[in-house]
Amino acid sequence: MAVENTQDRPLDVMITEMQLSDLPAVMSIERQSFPTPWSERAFVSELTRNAYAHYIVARVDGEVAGYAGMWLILDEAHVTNIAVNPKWRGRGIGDRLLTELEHRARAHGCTRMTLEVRPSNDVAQALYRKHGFVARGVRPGYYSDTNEDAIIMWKDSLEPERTRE
Amino acid sequence: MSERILAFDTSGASLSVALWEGGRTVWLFTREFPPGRPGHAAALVPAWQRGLVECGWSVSSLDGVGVTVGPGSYTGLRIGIASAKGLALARGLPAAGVGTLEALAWPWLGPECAVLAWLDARRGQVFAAVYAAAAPAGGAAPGGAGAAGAPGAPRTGEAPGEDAAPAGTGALHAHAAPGDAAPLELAPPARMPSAEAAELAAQAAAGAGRAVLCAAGDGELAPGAAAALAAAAARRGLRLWRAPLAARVSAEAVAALAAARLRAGGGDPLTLVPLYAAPPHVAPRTAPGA
Repeated sequence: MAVENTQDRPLDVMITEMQLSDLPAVMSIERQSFPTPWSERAFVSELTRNAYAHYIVARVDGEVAGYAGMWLILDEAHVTNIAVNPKWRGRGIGDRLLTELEHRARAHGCTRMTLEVRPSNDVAQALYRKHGFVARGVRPGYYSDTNEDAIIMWKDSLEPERTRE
Repeated sequence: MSERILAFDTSGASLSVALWEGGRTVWLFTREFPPGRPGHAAALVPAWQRGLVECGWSVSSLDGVGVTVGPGSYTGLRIGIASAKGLALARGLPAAGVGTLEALAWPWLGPECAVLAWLDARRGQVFAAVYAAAAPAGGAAPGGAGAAGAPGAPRTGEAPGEDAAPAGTGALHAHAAPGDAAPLELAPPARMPSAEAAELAAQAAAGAGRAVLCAAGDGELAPGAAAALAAAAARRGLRLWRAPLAARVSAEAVAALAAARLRAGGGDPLTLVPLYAAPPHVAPRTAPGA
């Protein structure tokens, strides 16, 4: 049969800095991904006025398939968002975006990385755990839309790890 | 420094391109090709063109070019070096070659460790080199001055081992952004058995009064190589650290290292020569016999 299972095919993914011209695609993914999406103005402000902000997009076949961002504050990187277009989910794009954030944070001199995640978001939590993030605390009622708490996760090991002797 | 540098790495499975200005990366591009289907030749020039457009630069605003010269894949190195030479010669730009292992070590350079960078060369062999951060202006690096370019040189700092890594929490301190100071080369890139590379790294680290930090490209080390490194460090009472991320060559590192080289006056594009991982199977008949 000539039908190929394209779901399993490894992707050709390009990752680079988010541009203002990416925002229509980013906003579409944002609205499909979060119950209380950021406004386009919020993204514009992040890209043009926030010197600590660093945003990247992943493209497949030239199309924005996902994006991620963080604030680089001294030696800490605070992940602000990671989202993948629903049609590209489950293909490892979130994993690549997080890996890219880690390498970029490292090159900026960050030693630790933190983020908040909803307790109901099992997929995201599994990704973060796979990358070495551990739950360290809770921000009660952080998500004002659903009154959900936020789980605070940290990854300390952007620093080298001491090996066991 | 307001020099603008275009740097790229085509030595491995992915493609990385960076634009560098004023001592930092302003644009960084990573492309991961599907396994077995690399496309560096077709993707490199469009990638840097995209970067120039997104940064509002043009080719004529560049001040230099940086490229990895190996070790790495034959085809990848040829694409990268040919592209760097072509651009530099056509535009009259300086171009600097950067070692793949040096770029691999770059994110992990800090005052307390000698960084062993290695790549699997198959059949129990690795490509290995050892680097250390140049002593910062504050002069905190133990033994840094005495270690310059000379493995086993007399130490000027404290005893190695316990003092090579900080006391207290057991964490490795002071990893600021690596910046664009040229690192010290404690052992130059060479192909050797992994056990030999482990010994070399431990010897160089002990000579510099530093702990050993291992950055392995392409994921984990073979179990035998990891054990050899642990044993070599333990024999000298050295602490051993491991890079937590799967080490990879980033064009950001290539740009930083190329900037240092260009500042130091290097940069004749005609001197760019690939450092292949192994001698080519096919060579011109006039090539000198090995």
